[in-house]
Amino acid sequence: MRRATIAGLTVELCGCAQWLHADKLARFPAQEEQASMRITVEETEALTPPEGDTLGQAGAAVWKRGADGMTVLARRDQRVQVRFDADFSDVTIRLERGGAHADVHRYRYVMQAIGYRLLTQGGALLHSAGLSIRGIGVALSGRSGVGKSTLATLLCEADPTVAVLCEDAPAVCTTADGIELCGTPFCGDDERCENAHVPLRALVFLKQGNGNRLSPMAPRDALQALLENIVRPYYQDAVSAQAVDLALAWIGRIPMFEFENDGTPSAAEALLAALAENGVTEKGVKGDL
Amino acid sequence: MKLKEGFLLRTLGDSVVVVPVGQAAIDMRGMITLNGSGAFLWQALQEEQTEETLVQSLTQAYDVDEETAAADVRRFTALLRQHDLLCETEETA
Repeated sequence: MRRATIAGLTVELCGCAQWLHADKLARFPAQEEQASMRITVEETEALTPPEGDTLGQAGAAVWKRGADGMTVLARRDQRVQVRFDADFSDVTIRLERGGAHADVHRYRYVMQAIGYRLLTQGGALLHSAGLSIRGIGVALSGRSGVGKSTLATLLCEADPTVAVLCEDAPAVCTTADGIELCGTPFCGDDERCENAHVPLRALVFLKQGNGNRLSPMAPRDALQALLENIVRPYYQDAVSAQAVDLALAWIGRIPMFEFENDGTPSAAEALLAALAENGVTEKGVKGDL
Repeated sequence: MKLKEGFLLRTLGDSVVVVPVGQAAIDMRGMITLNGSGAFLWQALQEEQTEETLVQSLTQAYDVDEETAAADVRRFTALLRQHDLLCETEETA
């Protein structure tokens, strides 16, 4: 069993020592004695389809409500089943022993479980590359393959003050100091993740294009983009509604932009300049800390 | 008729939007923007209604004649039916 505090959430991880490279998890030592949630990962010989009322389905997954009150997410290929209690404080992930893509499933469903639990605590995981630019938080979000990691790398190359907090799903949390972007171990295959939090000053949704242009987003477009990228449980209306209200709160407090870019080093230069022009980051000499 | 479950009515700046949650968020991508009377009708449809009761509510709440209100209600409910957002009883189907 391991314990870790991720974005203020202390998690007890049972049976998943192999998950999350040990060095990444070690960067998130437990800050509290009492865990806010427990995630157990089990491997079994064979998984049978769960019984119960169907709550919803999407893609490869179906959600059912079992007689014991637990919600079960089951992949149609029967390689994974995830059992959640009502407030996501107790989650069990069952994997087919030796099943294909077990590591991917383990990573994905542990991330989802923590994302769901965070929502009940007023925070959220956001599919994005979370950056610190001279101590200012900027999240680059957008659909898979849009170039978040590429642009994050280009920004680091363009400006040594840029640090990657997390490549895949940093957390956004509301604290007494405001809205913060927090590093998490959810950085995919990338090694870059930091147990750090910085004030979140901009959310940038990426769009592939021929030029490099940063434009403010209309609130409606920003809400749509946020809801596509916040990790939220679709089958549970109440918690899903919390994600909507959280997104609305962010829209009122954090500037949201669309950045059409060509994925070249000049895109990074253009974004840094545009963020400074828009008052997100301070204008300064590269390398200033 | 009554609205299906799984939608939230929220204010976003100067607009009122309807956001799907739960299975509705999977079945329906995007969201709906409503004007003032649309938001009024949406709220009314949280409970069982007929076209007549909606027209009556609209004329009571807004400075609008019955004929205009009836046209508005028909247009609005047709749009909701088009997007499969209504639960219909035999009486209203």
